Amino acid sequence: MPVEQIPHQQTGSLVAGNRLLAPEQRSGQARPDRANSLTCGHRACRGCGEALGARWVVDAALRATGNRLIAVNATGCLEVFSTPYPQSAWQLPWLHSLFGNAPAVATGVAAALRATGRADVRVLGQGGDGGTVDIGFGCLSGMFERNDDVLYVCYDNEAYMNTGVQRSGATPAAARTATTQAVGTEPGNVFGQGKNLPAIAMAHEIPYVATATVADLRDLEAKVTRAMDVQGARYLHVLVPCPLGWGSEAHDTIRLARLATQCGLFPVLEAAYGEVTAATRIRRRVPVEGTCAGSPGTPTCSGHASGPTWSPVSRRRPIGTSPGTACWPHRHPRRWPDGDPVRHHARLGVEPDQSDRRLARRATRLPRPVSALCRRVPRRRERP
Amino acid sequence: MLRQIEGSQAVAAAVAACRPQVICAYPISPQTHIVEALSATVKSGALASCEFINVESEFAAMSVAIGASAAGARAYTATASQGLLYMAEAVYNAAGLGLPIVMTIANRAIGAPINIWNDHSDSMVMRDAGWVQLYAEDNQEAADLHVQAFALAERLSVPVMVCMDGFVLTHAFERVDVPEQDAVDAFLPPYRPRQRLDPADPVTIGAMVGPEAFTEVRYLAHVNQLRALDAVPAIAAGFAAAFGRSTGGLVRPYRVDDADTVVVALGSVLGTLKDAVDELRDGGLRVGVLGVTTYRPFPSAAVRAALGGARRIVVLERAFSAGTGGIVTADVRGALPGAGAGTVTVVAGLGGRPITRASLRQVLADAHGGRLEPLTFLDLDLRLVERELARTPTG
Ligand SMILES: Cc1ncc(C[n+]2csc(CCOP(=O)(O)OP(=O)(O)O)c2C)c(N)n1
Ligand code: SF4
Repeated sequence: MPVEQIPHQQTGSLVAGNRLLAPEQRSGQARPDRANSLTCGHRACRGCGEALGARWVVDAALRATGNRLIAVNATGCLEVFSTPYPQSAWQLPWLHSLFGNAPAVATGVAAALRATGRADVRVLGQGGDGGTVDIGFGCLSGMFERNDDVLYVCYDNEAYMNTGVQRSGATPAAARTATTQAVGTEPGNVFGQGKNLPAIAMAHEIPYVATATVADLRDLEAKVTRAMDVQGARYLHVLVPCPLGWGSEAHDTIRLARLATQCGLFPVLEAAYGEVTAATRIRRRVPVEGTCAGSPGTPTCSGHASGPTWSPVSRRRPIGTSPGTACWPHRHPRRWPDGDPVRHHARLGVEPDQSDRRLARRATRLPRPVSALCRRVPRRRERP
Repeated sequence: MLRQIEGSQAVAAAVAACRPQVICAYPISPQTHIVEALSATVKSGALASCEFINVESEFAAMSVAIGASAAGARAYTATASQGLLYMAEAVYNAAGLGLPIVMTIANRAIGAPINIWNDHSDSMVMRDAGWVQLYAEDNQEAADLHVQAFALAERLSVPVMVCMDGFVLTHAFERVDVPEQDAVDAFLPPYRPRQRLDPADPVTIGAMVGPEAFTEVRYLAHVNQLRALDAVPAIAAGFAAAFGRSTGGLVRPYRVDDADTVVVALGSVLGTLKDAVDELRDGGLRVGVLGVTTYRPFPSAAVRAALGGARRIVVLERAFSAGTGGIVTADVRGALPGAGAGTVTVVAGLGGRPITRASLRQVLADAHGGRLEPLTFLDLDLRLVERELARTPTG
């Protein structure tokens, strides 16, 4: 994919290892005594966003707790690539039980720590988007509702990657996965489905919810650190591009994650007790069209692909001039440009179709935006 | 202390005396009274440093127990029927991880058709899960088995299921000598996990194991299970010495020594069976009963020794495998020389149907006279099934 010139301060000054900064400004990963919780030798693919995200998250959590931390992992890529028996890449106490129960297992660990007088040891639960928004959702909601002292981190690569890129409840509309293939003029994943888990977590009114991406690791680190300052149930949703599943280049992982935030696809925010408290400003907004769904065959920022073999990112038909460019198919009808998909496509001179009308109807039925996430993000200016 | 007490309350008191540190539960009849009582005990502060966690499903209940046990806490839960099936994946997982969790099963049928009453279909489903399974004959044994179960689980680092018949035991008021706290403290040492999640000594638990070592992992689990065949009698003997009563153990023979016909059974039906045997003995029939208290691991040698002299063996089953027949029968046959020829199955008391002494007397007399089919359904309403069979198209 064409390389975009990134202003120096976006990468050079904030990432790991920058020795030009004053020590207090450096990231934790720049410290020679960093935890290295997930050591080398694991079997993740080259450029795996999940491996990168997990290392930063767990390292930051270890630092915040003075190494008094236990991790509980759901089944998925992260678990499989990190613990091929008899090896383990984990440098902290780590437990894997099942695919769908990591939040409950984490609850059990936290309860045991309280009961055995070790409440200073903290618990981190983690899993992929499938393990979190689908099969583990019941356990996660229970953990939120009880406000158990667990930080649960979802590494969202937008599909079930470990089993070969099948659709999950976090797969965006039109995305091509092994079970939502783009056939003929049909797009990949269905429109109007999927879960917004950060919003659902906020609806539980837990003390802390945040989203982050591997494009801004300093921000990710800061959020984990803040989360560890809070007692009770906390949720962190991290966008982690997956080269294998998205069909992207290993060296584009960070770039894709950044584009996802810059075009507004993936809002980066923090919330406390159900209220958004901070959102990362999009400094230079880029359109989804052309930026992410660029040349044929290249992936878009959310794992879709456009081009000869795959359907365009969002629609069954090409819009605009280049085939495969697209308007972003928001699941929330209010998040479409021009108010709703019917109006949007009308403006572009495209005949609205059934799914547009369905979404537009839904928009009119909603008295107010249901999601605090959608309502608040554009209004926030300040970065924490 | 001797008390006239409901089975569930007695079990809850015995579990509390074991000082569990994490209890988690999701309600299902007929398990509810046990966990209700425990929740009140924890709330009252009587159980120091114990966490009672109300979870959102049985799957979560077992998962919380797994996390708690791996982090070094004595963990307990209870369930039945649909709940046990709902947690099935985690039940296997607990055994695979070698976590000494103790779980009460208030035995209940499995739907459809939905039925809340007692049989053994639920725990039988889990017989291959890698858990030790103990079956209580009465409420005294149900209470005592929990104390023994914690000792056994922690000695071998295996999870243990204590199965007690739903309603028949859980809701029955009987005189029970509830294990006293001091005695339990003396009998059951504090939980010392073989391995626990500890930042001072990080371990990875639950790694992925491929074909190169999976067979060995399973084999070692098998060997560890078999160790229970020594540990169970040893713990039961220790318990008898400490508490002055004999409960638990591998098998419980009753008047089998000179018996021609022996009925093998699990659970509360043993009481009725013994009464029926006494009556038949009065009538001159040489019959006996063999109660199997430890069903997993299956005590083949003990069963063989107890059944050695019998010519006819009846296995009375509270569950069965559709299309095949008896489940326990297969184990009994496997334990006997000549594959237990002459062993027949009687399926009885499904979905809570009462097993009456009269029916048992009849079936025992028939067995003794060699008039029993290989598979009999006790008190089957033939009129109803034949009418239905006549209506359903065949082939
Ligand atoms: C109960 C159960 N169902 C299905 C699976 C198969 N399975 C293992 S990992 C996985 C996908 C994991 O996807 P996700 O949670 O998104 O994590 P990722 O691999 O993408 O990091 C699936 C479906 C399983 N292990 N257990
Ligand atoms: S498939 Fe994706 S998530 Fe899994 S290891 Fe490879 S890059 Fe990482």
